Amino acid sequence: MNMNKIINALKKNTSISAWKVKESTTESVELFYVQTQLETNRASSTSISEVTVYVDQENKRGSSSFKIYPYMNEEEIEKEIQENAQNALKALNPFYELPKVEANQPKDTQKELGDFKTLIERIKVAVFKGLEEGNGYLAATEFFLYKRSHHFMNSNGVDLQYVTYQGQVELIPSWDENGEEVEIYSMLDFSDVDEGKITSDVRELMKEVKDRCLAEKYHFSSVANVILQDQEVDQFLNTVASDLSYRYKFTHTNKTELGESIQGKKVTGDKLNISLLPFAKGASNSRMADDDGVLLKPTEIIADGIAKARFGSYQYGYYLEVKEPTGNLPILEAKAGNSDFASFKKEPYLRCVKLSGLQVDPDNNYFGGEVRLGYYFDGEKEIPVTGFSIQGNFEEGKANLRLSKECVTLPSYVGPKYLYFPKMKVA
Amino acid sequence: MSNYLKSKHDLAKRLVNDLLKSYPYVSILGKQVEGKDIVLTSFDSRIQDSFETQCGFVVKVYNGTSYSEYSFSDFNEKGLEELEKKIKESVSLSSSLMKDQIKVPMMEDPEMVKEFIRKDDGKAYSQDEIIAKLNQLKEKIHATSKEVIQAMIRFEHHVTYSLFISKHRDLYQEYPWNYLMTAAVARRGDNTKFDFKANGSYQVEATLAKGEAMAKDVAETATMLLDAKPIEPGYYDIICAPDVTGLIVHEAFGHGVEMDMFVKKRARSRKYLNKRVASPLVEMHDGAAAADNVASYFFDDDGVLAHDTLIIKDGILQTGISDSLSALELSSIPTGNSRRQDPSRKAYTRMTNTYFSKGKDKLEDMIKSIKHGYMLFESNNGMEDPKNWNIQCVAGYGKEIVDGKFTGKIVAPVVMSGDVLDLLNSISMVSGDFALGAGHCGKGYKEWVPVSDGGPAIKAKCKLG
Repeated sequence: MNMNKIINALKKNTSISAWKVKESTTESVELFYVQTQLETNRASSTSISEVTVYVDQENKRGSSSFKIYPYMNEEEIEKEIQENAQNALKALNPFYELPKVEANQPKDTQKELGDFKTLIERIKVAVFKGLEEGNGYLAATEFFLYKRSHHFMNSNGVDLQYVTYQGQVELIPSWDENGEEVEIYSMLDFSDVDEGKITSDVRELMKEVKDRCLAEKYHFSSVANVILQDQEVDQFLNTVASDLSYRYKFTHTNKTELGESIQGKKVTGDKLNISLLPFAKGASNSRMADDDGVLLKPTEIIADGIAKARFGSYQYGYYLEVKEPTGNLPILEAKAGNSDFASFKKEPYLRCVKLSGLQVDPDNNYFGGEVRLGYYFDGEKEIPVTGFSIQGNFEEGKANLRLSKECVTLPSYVGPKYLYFPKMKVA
Repeated sequence: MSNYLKSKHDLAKRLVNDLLKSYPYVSILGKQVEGKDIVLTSFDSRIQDSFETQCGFVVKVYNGTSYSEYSFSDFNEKGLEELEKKIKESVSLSSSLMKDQIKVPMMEDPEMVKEFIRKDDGKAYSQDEIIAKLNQLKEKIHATSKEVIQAMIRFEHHVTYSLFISKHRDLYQEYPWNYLMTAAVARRGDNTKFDFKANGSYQVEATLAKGEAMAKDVAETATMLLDAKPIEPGYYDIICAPDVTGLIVHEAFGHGVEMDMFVKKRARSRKYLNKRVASPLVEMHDGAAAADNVASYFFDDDGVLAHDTLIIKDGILQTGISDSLSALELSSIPTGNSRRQDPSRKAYTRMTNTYFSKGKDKLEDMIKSIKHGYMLFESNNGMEDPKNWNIQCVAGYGKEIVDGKFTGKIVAPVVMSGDVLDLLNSISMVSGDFALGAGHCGKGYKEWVPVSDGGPAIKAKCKLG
C-alpha cells in the first residue's frame, strides 16, 4: 500500500499547511442466488487512499480531496498533491483546525468473523432454513461479507488503525397464491453473525410476504393511529435530530436552539431522549473514528425533548466555537418509551410494515409514503392491508409521537422498535 | 487513451490467455474514471474528486456451469502468477456450492477490436474560468430573490475510460461528462423551502451555458414554494413536465423491464410481452445509443456494444433490456445494459437513457383541456415495484389548473400513487417537447449508476397525495 509514500510526499510539499490520509483495504466474499440456485460467486480485494490537503491563506483555509490508487508511484503522488494544493486555494473557507492527537487511543473493538468462505455458506444455510412449506420462495438472495481495514493519519499526529466487519443479505421474499404474485424487499445487515436470528428474521419476512399476498385493499377509516417500525423509526428520529447539526446552525437553516424543545411548544406524546454513539452491539456502522480522525465519544443531544447539544464535523464545530466537536457519529440511540406494544391496542391502529420509502420532509412539514404491507388492528385482531398511503404533519408528529418499550438494533440505530402517531391521514 | 489502462493492456491480455488454460471463457474489464467536483455555497466551498472516480479491474470466468468474478485494484508483471493463483482460489466453490450452481451456456465472444473516443469538442475552460462562472451563478441566485438565504452551485466533470479484453474482443472507450447543479434555500420566518435544478452535457461549454437560466429559476421556485400548501388527496387529471415523465418512465415502468427481473420472476411485465401496457400514444426507448446523455457509453461492462432498444411501441410492450448473463439464462440477445457501480461490484441489468418519445400535442392545449387538476414539476424521488406495479413517485411541486388555466395555487410535495398500468393507459395527450435529465439510479437500495430519463409532457390521470 501507499501510506508511507503518501506521507513522505505530503511532508515534502512546502505549500500545504495540513493534511489527512485514510487508507482502506476491503476484502469481500459474495454469493448471488436466483431462487435456490447459485448464479454468480464473487470475491474482491481492493484498496484506496483518500487524501485531503489544506492550504492556509491569511485567515482562510482551503482544502482539496482526492484519491490515490495503488498503481501510483512517488512521482504521480507528488503531482497529485501539488495539483490539489493549488486547487485548495480556490476553495477558501474560514480557518479551522484539524483534530489533534489524544493521549489514549483505543484499539479496534470489533470481533473477527472468521473464515469468510466457510461463514458465508453457514449464512446461506441459515437463510434458506427460514423457508417453510407453502407458496413462498426467495426470488433472489445476495450474500455479502466485508472486512474493511482502515489506517488514518493527519498532520496533527493522529494515527488510528481499525477494522470493521459487515455482513449483508439482500433478499426478495415472494409469495404466489390464488393468481396473486407479490414480493417484498429486505436487507439484513449485521456485524456479528447470529445464524438463529437470521433464520427467524427470514421466517418473519416470509410471514409478511404471505400477508401481503393475502392482504385486502385498505378500506377503513381515512384517519388512523399509525405505527411505524424499524428503519422508518430510524429515519424519522434521524431527521428530527438532524436539526441539531453544526452545519444547519452555521448555515442558519436550523429551527431549534439549544435549551429549546425540539418537539415544539406543546408536547402531548413521549419526550425524546437521544444520544449519538460510536459503537452499539450488532450495529454494523459502528466505528471508533470519523473521516476527519475524530475519536468518537457518546454524546447526548436531546434530553426530555430539550436540545442539549449539537453534533457534526470538526470543521463546523470549530466555526461554532465548540470546544470538543463531536465528529460525525454513526449510531443514533433513542431511549425506549414506557408503552409496550400491547398498550397500543387500546384503540384501532394501522401498523405500517413495508413502505416503498418514507418521505420525511421538515421543510414541507410533511411525512408519509406509500405502504405495501400494513396491519389494521380493528380492536380485536390485526388484518393485513395494502394499497394505501399515509400522510402526516411533521411538527405534529414530533409533538404527539409515542415510543415503544420494545427495542431494535439496526446498522445505524438502537432504540424503540415502534413509533405511534395518533390520527394520520390515510388514502 | 488512459495512460494507466494503456500500460495494462498487454498484461491484461496475458492474464486472460493464462486463465483460458483453466476456464473456457475469461474476460477482464479495467475501468478508470477521473474528474473533479467543485461545490460553492453561500457559506463554504470545497473541491474534491468526483463521486464517479474509480480505478480497478474485474475478471469474469466461466467454469463450464456458471460464472465467477474476482475484483482487484491493480496488477503488475511481477505479481501476475500470484494474481492468477489468487483468482483461482477465490472463485473456487465448495462441493455443496457447486451443487447449487445454475447451468448456463458460455457467453458469445465475437471477434471485435475497436476503440471508441468521444471528446469535448466545445470551447475549453480552465478550472479558474469555471470557478469564476460558478461564483457568478451563486450571486445570481441571491440577486434574484431576497428570501434566498443560501445558494449552492455544484459543477462535476469526469472522463470515463474502460478496457474490455476477452479471447476475441479487445475494446477501449473514453467519454466525458459534465454536470451542473444549482440550488437555493429560501426562508420566511420558520418556513424554509429548497429547490434544485440540474443539467449536463459532454461539453463544458454547453453545460455552463444553461447556468444563468437555472440560477434564476431555482431562486424563483424556492421562493414560490414558500407559499405552497399541502394537496388535498384525490384522483386528478395531471400534466407531467418532462422530468416527471422521466420519473414515471424510469421508476414506475423501466425497472420492471430489466430482464434480470425476468430471470428472478420479479417482473410482472414478462407476462405482458406483445400486450398492451400503455395508451397507443406511448413509445418508450432505452439505450446507451438511444440518446446523447450521461449513460451514452459505447460498450457495456460485459463488452456488448450499445443499443437503442424500442421497449414500447403504440402502447404494446415489445421487449425488455438485459445484461449478458440474464440474456444467456433467457436465451435472448443482450442489449448492452450490463452495468456496474464500479469494478468491485457485480454487473446487473441497468437502464441507461430511458424515455417516452415525443408526441404531437401542444402544451397549451393540454393545459386548456383540464377542468381541475395539476401540472407536476421536478422529479423528487421514486421507488420501483416491478412485481406489483404500484407507483411510488414524488414530484417537487404542482401548479393547480382550473378550467384550463393556472390558478396560481402551488402544492408541495406531491406523491403519486396507484397502479402503473392504469396510469400509462390513461395517457391521453403527449406534447412535442422533449427533455432528458441526468441523475443516479440504484438497484433496490444500492448499486448506483448514472442514468438519464425524460421525454415530453404527458397528460394522464393519477392518485395524488
